[in-house]
Amino acid sequence: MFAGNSQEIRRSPVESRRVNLRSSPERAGSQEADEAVAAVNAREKAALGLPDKPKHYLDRIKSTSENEASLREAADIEAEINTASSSLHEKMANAHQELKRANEEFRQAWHKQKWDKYAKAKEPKETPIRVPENKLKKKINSPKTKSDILQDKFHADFKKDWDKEVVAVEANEQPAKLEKEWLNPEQKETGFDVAREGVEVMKKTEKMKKQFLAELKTARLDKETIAAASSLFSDLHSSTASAETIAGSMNILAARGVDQKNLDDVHNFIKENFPAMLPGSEILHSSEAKIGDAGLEQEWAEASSERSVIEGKKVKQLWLETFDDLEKKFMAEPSKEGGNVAVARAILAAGKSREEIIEAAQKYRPQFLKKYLPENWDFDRAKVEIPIKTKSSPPDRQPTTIFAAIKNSWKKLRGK
Amino acid sequence: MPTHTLTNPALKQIIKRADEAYMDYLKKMKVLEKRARELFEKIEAEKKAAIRGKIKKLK
Repeated sequence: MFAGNSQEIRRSPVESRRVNLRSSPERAGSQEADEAVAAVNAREKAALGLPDKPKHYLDRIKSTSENEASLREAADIEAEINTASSSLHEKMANAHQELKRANEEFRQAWHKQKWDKYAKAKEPKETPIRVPENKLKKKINSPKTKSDILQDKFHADFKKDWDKEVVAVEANEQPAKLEKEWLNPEQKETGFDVAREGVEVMKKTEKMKKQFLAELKTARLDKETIAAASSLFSDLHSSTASAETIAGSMNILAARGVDQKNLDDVHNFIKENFPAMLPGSEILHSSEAKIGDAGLEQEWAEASSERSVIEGKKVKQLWLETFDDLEKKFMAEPSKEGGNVAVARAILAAGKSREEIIEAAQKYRPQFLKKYLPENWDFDRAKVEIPIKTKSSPPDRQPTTIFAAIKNSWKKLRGK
Repeated sequence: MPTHTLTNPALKQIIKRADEAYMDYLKKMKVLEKRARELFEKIEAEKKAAIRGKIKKLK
């Protein structure tokens, strides 16, 4: 066979020494793998020259013959040579792959064997000492060690820092949000200065809003109205608010029972301070029918229905209070006649008529009419007895309106 | 190369297969060489015969 024993002969002294040093089985395995690879390579190399001879004849045929049949046969032989060569190369490549795999398997098997041997050598020869249960219990219940104390302290410190961090994050959340909003694409070129300025404005606005809300609370308005007013306030200070959003907020305010005079005041207030938002307030100022936007119309419809509910509740409450008041006035008088005069006086003072009271009583408290007969209310005497207001009389306390709250808040802040 | 020195049977098997592949290839090449040689010789003989015929005609 071609594969001779030339490798042994060609090895240099250094190589031979290296081979001899491979005394361990792992080394021996590696050496065997090297040898196997060399053997496959040698076969591949020897096969390289084999097609040369037939190809030599074929080349001569191709260069000298003109006979078609001969040329065709020569081509067939050449094709067979090529097929056989590629088949051999494929087989040799597979052999190399298999060698690699076999070597890896051998290495793993060797390692396992080595490890098993090592593990067996290290295996404890005696059974472990068992700690009696009572001793274990004692260890568990023993006071904390120095390490335990240190660990507890670390956890406590960590929690403290963490809480601090959370508070800081929460405090910074709003300006950060604004910073993000502020950097809209149109303002990109202005960079962080604008963002910083924005944060400052936001901080100031937050302060203003707090004061404004405080004022609204003192004005004893209902929650929804406060929310609507707060929303309007935010819209006025928002860089993204449009006239429509302002109009929406104001419409809600209108729906929540703010009267036309106050809405007019708000309109003027916006005209003075936020002229750009004027179209929004104009929409409000004209009529609901002019609200073009479908969303706003819906909002208005919702707000209006809410308003009627709120108003209904308010009116009923007011009337019930009025009847209570009238009853008190009647009962405070020693005689029936006096009581009838007192009731009439109270009705006149409230700016109402006998008919209005009867109508409301029929609706909200029918028994009032049975108890205190309206035909007996003495308006003639009451008109005479009603005191005329003089300049020295203390003025009636004007109810605090939303607009007043906005205006006061705004003035205070502007002053700062 | 002497494969009998190998102790790993898997390696031995691989080398055995490589040997077989080589031997098949060698045999195949010998057959193809023979076919190519015979074809060449046949063509050469035909050429020679043709030349001889021409010479005969000239004579």
